[in-house]
Amino acid sequence: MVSRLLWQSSLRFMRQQYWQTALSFIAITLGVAIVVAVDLANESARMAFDWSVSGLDGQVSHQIVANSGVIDEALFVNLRKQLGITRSAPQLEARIQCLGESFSLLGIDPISELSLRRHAMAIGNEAMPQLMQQANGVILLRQTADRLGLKTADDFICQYRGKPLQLKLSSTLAQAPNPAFERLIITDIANAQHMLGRRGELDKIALELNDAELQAIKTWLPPRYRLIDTQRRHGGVSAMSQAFHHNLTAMSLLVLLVGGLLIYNAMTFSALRRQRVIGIYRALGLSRRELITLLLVESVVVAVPASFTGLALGLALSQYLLHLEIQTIDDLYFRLTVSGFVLSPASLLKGMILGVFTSVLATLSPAMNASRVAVINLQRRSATEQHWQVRYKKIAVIGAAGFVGLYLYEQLPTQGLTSAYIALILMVFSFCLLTPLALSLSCRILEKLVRPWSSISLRLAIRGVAAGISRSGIAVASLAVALATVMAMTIMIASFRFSVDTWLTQSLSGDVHISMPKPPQDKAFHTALIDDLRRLDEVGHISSRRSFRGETQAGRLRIVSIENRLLEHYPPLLAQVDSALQRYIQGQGIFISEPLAYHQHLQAGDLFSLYTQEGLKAFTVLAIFRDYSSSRGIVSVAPALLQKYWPAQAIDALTLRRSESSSYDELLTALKTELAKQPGDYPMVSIRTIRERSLAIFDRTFAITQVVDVLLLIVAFIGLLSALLALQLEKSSEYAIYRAIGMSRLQLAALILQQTCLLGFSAALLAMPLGFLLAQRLIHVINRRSFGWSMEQVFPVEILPQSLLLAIIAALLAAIYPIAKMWQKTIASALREE
Amino acid sequence: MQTLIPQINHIKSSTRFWCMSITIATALSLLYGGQQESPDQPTLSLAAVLGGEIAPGFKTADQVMALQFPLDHGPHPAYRNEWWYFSGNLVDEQGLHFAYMLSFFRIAILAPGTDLSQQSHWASRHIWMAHIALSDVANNRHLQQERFSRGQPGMAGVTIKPLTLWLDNWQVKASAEGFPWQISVNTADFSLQLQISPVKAMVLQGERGFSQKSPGHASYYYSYPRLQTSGTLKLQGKQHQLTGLSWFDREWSSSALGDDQVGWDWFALQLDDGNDLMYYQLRDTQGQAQASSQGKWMQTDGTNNTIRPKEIDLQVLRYWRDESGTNYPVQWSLSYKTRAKRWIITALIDDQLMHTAVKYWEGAVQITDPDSKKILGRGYLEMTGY
Repeated sequence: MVSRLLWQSSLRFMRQQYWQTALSFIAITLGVAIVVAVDLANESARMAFDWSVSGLDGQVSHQIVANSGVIDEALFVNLRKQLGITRSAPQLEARIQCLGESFSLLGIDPISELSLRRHAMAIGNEAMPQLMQQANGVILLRQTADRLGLKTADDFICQYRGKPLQLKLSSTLAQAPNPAFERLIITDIANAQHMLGRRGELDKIALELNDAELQAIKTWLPPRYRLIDTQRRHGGVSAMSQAFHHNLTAMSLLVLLVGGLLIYNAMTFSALRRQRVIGIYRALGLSRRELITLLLVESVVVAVPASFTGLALGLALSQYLLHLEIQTIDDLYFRLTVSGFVLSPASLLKGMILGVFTSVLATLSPAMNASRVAVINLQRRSATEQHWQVRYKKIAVIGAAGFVGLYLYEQLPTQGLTSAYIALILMVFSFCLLTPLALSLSCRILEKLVRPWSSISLRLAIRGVAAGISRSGIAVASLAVALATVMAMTIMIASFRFSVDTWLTQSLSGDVHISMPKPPQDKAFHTALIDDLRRLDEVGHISSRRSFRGETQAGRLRIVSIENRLLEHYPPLLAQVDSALQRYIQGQGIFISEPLAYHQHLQAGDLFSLYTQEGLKAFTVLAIFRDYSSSRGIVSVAPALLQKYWPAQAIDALTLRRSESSSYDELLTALKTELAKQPGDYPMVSIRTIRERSLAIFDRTFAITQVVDVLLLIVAFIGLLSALLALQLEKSSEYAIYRAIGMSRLQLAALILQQTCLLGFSAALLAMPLGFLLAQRLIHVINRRSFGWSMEQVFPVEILPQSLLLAIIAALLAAIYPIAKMWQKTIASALREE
Repeated sequence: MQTLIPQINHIKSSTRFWCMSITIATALSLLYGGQQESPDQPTLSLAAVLGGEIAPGFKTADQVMALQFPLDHGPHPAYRNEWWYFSGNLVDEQGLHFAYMLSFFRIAILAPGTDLSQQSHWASRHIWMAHIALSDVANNRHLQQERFSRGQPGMAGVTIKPLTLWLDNWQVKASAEGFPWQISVNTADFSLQLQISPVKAMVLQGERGFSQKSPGHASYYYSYPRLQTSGTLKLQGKQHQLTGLSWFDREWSSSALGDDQVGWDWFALQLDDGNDLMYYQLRDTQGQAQASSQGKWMQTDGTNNTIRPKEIDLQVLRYWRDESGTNYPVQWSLSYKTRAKRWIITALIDDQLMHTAVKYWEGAVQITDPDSKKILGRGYLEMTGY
């Protein structure tokens, strides 16, 4: 039993050393907050993703989709009349923008929905029939309507492909049966076809089938359509988003690691600070168990409230992260219809466990040490350091073994993303273990280097670092990991951006992009229009694009065909068979994008099957091209092939290049004049704008990683600060002796500064190889496994001085408090502490 | 623009129309509202649904009009609602008794003149509903299904020349020369293929087909009280060859019943002696038969006589209680005083309750002599508002 007197002593210590208690508190709080924030945001985004998928399709067993992407509505009628499949409902979807937000316009048949009982239950007795009665009537979730400031019967304008849609809010839903409704605008299928200009077309037919019906449909369905098991499809979609979450999870694990180091550092320091007191306790007869209990309880007393504060902070922070994350998923993967925040108890628990357990663990090790060491030694700080001088070598051996293990692990034929992350974490961990040795060795080398000409104070600084390796090693490791992470992310993002930019420049040829009006006009019309445009003096070159979502052996993918494409505007081919381009143009095969090749394990020369109007047909993959437009992949087919297998596909866009004699503005004016004569709307956008928008989306995507980067740096900074403070404050008696033997305050301040700068500098130096290694892994392993994208690695040189600067600034800031403290103390009082 | 519900609320029509309007409106409110039907108070929803004004934009049944055939078998889009009703009592080769009821309902959600401006084939003015029920008397089993569809683009509808009436894969189709009509219904439980041909001429109900229900409220109404029926039933992998008699009822209108009318009991009786009787009793809030109740005595020789309530004495002999505790009269004594006739009408299966959006009891009955207990015929009984 620990006596009351001891508790009082313990409490008094905490109160006296309030700054240190505060630092531990801050360390735990921050560590917990960041882990919880990233985790909660991740969890919410994942749930949002699931809801978005299941909200629309998850409640049915099957779907019919068309190989061409468009279902003839007659199929639905026949399904009902010939097969009597009553549990079926048509669906038409489009993404529209309303009052600055993105929504999914969902056209449904309220009556058919009765048979499926999915949207019906929510929509209410009056609202549903109203849908069928109002030519532009839509239904919104009440809270969405409130947010947009809309009341029933209000008119509002939305944008669909740059064209305005006039909608009327016919009614609102009091509550969402499922959060997917938050970003849904529901309308009658007739309205949807009308507004989207898609008469006669459906996107999907949702089905709830029993076994008999399933068999009946399988034999009945024409080959240009495909029956999809909804559950299986969702598996595919979520695998897609999984990659993104893995990226964030990896970051949160790094945060966890750095946070853990930070807490460890703070708690170890707390124990070390009290070595003398502990020595006295032990001398007075306190048992080991009592001692360990005392220290552990102390750590829990700090850790529990700190963890709770961390949870609260993390909760607040996660809202912001979620916003960024949703935006990213929205931009990159999927029209996310939900943005709801989910308070996942698992995330909170994880944070709590991290805070309390890390603290306890971090205390356990010094507490055990303290209890093991002979009473007399405990009173001497040097004992610990002596112990450490032996131990860090052992630790370094483990670290080196870690790297060897990592190398061996890499040799295993594994493709998994999880294993890639395990390897990444292993690498960082091994690195941390090597840090104290690396630091100590570099100090020794540095000392030798500077000995001939340096001042005593510099040598004192260097030796101080090496002597306090138990402290400085951890500080340097945590700062180095944080810096390295930031560096790696920066290198990865820079490489990615560079590659995307290059790809955009190459694949976006020309000056103006024109979208063709919907519904598509007949072919003769298109030919005539292109001829008309070609006759304009301002037009130099026209290429036309047909693009649609088609069914393939790998699920639904975008299939693109560009007619009249100039040779230099083919995307970069990464692998190809002999005379690939020539064979492609002749329609002897297809090109597929890199992610598709990666995920499907396809190489040039392999076969890949597409559903054509003649049913499933295998095509030779002639080449694999670089493309970042889809992480699932796209298929490119030559016009000759398209003509044969998907003849119904109409041109959906034109890309025009100005003639050499005219300017961009002249081209635009000429086009506007010409197109005004044509029926329908032709939204035009400059290629430059597309490029800028694409890059803007790219930047937005990585906004969240940058935020996490900053958070990581803050945690590392606190870690460095606490380590340096500990180091410096421990030395106050040493400094007092220096002062006593004639060192001025200024000289002493210089010594402290030199020492902290040295630590910062070492951390930055050590971070560089690690950062580079991490970047390599992110680019060539993680990204490739997640997205199937390869990228050209660039090295933004400026990050070297940047991280150095960052480290030095952190070091300088950390020096301020010890210097100030040293400055205030008189020599006598400082000496007395000894 | 009015909503569907108020429009339905305004429907004033004949008895069977009543059923339709209740069913659709309540169906929507029940299904879409996701509420549980309140089985103990079905009249509550009925009262809530009915009543109100005649909706603008629709023609009203307000005068005697010469009905034309086969044209009037077909659609009447100028009127708000219409229905086609078939029922029949059939036996198979082994004498097993099967009865069926098939009904199609069209209900307008938009008045005929309203502009359907959408560039879409789905733009519809009508919703369709259909009910099928099969009574397997030997096994005391009652199978049923309900379907809904909008009119466009072609999942449900009616065309003439030849008459074709369908919802999904449930269909009634006339031959090129008129009768016989083919009935084809497929459900998960059974499939029914029947051929029907009248053995007795069509009967125009009310006054030459103009059926006045109460002052200002009427419909056009005619029946084929006796149709020779043959066909096949596939049930649980077994095929039955069926023969027997069917009944066909047809009605269209734009207006509904009075607010004080809460339910009705409708009898369609086919006597073995060749006479047929149709009688509906409208009940008010007190459960009393109203003066607007009416019927028709349709004799073997083709002469018909209108039946007034004072000529009829209806007594409930036995009730059947459903799971919710509602009592349905499943045995009646019907006296046709003018002709000094009295019959006992007994449900062939007590539970022929339609668990459709709104519950109603519709089922095959047997007519017996009260004294000799001899079977005198068969028929169908429809009861609502209990």
